[in-house]
Amino acid sequence: MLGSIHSLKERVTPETGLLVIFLVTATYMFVESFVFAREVALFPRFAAFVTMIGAALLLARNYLPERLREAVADSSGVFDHYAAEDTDGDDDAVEMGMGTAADEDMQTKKQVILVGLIVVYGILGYLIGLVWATPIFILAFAVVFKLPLVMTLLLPILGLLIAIAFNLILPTDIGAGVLL
Amino acid sequence: MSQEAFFSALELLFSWPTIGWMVLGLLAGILIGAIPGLGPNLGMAVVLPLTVPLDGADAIILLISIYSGTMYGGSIAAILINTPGTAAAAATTLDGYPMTRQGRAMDALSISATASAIGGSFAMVTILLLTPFLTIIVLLFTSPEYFLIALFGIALITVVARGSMVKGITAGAFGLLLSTIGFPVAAGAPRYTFDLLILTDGLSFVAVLIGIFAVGEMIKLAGEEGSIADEEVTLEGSVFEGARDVLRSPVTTIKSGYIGMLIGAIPGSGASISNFISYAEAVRSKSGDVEFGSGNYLGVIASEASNNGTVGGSLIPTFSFGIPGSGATAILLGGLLMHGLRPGPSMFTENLDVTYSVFVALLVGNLIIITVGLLIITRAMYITMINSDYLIPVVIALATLGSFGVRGSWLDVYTVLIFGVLGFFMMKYNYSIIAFVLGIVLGPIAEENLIRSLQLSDGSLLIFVNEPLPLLLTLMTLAVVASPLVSAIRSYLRDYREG
Repeated sequence: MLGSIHSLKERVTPETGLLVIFLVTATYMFVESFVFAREVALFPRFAAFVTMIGAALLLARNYLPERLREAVADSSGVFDHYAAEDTDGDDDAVEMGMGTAADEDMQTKKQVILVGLIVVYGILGYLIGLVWATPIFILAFAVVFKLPLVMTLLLPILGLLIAIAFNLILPTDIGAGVLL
Repeated sequence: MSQEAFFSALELLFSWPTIGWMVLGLLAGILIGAIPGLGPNLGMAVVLPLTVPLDGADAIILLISIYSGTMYGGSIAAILINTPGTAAAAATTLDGYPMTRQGRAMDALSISATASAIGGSFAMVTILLLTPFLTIIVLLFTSPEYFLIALFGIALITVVARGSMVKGITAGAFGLLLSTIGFPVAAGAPRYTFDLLILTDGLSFVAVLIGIFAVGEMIKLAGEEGSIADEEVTLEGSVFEGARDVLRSPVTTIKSGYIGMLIGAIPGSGASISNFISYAEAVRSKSGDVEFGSGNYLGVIASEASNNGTVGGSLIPTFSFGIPGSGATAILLGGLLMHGLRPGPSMFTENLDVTYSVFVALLVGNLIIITVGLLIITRAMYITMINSDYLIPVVIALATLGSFGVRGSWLDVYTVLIFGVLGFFMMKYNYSIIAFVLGIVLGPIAEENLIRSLQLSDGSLLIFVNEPLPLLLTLMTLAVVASPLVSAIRSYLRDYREG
């Protein structure tokens, strides 16, 4: 029993969740496209179909015949032997200080915590308005990530000032929420 | 007409506050680029909604100046602490950091500033000279050609997407799919709106980009060390010697700038590729004569000249066809659309002065880079000591608050947050973000022009092959789509024969 739970834990990763999101969204949009007029159904149907096939192949890749599995997992981009994709983060920064499994776990934990804080920020912003939710979010981040006391006090104040500035500049009232 | 527009652009650029925005953008870009973990995409994504009150030309010049500044800024951390500030400076570490270890840090930083300026300038002068010809080509494009060029851009995903091709195609198709939410171009009922008014205009791709490149990157950064440089690096060497090294190597410098320009013009590529290709070319051309990877200044020149050349090159498909050359130009495209500047013929006719002003801003900006770069060399170390943990919550807050500036809609706020999280996981598991961006950006362009083309031809697909230009584009697209398949078949046959 423990063995199968462990095996399930290895197989069901956040990537699985990502692929399920792709698959479910694409399936819904594919089915729904049959309600639209022919002219405007073509594109979403095509895109949904490709997404469904891609997501399904990736979800089932461990169960595919070897050749097909290699083709699905293969790195085949023209620029593959050059640097990582043009995103801002840099993996070298990770390599500098993070080498052990424990360090990787800590990395992941911090990222998961931040995702949680972002979700709460979004909900709180809707409930009490972003002007108040912003400094609360920043304070929570500073406390959870154990920033120095001075920064824990200064950053939320900075956040509040930024939020107030946006509230004054933008035509929309971001200070009002459902509850406040 | 070109001459008038050019002089009008000069007048625009050198007036206040436009010149002020350019300088501010460059300085901000250098600072952003120098802090590992940030980079042009994030800087531009956060600033984009803040440009709403600005004039269109000012906004685009500010954004492009940030992009240009980060290309140089990324080299500072690469050279001083062996950690590139941006992916575009990754190849700079190979010889830049060894130069620091050899007591030539100031030489390396000076080489970086000078090579960036010269490589970028040559690329921009070439683009300025080519603009009248580019205008002629762009004006040949009508709806069928625009559909085909958008399709070509999407098809390039299969070639450009790093890692698993299936992941790249899936990400690209998902982006395409999300772009269909809302009211379609052809009249009819809205799609996938659940009868909610808020979804009638669909998802804002600007908000999606802000989510991925600001929030997503911050989540990624949260898992890394807070401050990259633990201690000061002693800056030794000579600024003058470094600049002289570049001036003694005109061929490498100019060639690298052009390599960057050409790579930048390929949708979905970007400076992270061009700096390595340029470095590899420098190694190849000098093979046997000199050693690379242990403090060879030519390695720094090759990498830095190319990444600034990339900035100019990436503007070609962006301004001409609305096809982003990179993540940063996808954000720039968002800026163009937000300010009522539509890529395509209008950027080369009634808005030609804006186009020229952006190109000239990049050219002039390169001169500012060399000045600022050489002046800040002695203080450069301190930038790398900024603790990125302090920046993470502030950047997320800026991105979230700024998203309201896009359309004043709560939908955009949630789009930023949701795609920030989604984008992070896509990056973590190597789903091509550029493919996704190409899908979401090009989807509406492709669909709009497909529908218009079919309306023009009464539903006949022959409109895409009955003239030389659409036929050429169709063949190019088929070649791109077929090439990985042909490659796979050849590989299979080879294995079969051997096996």
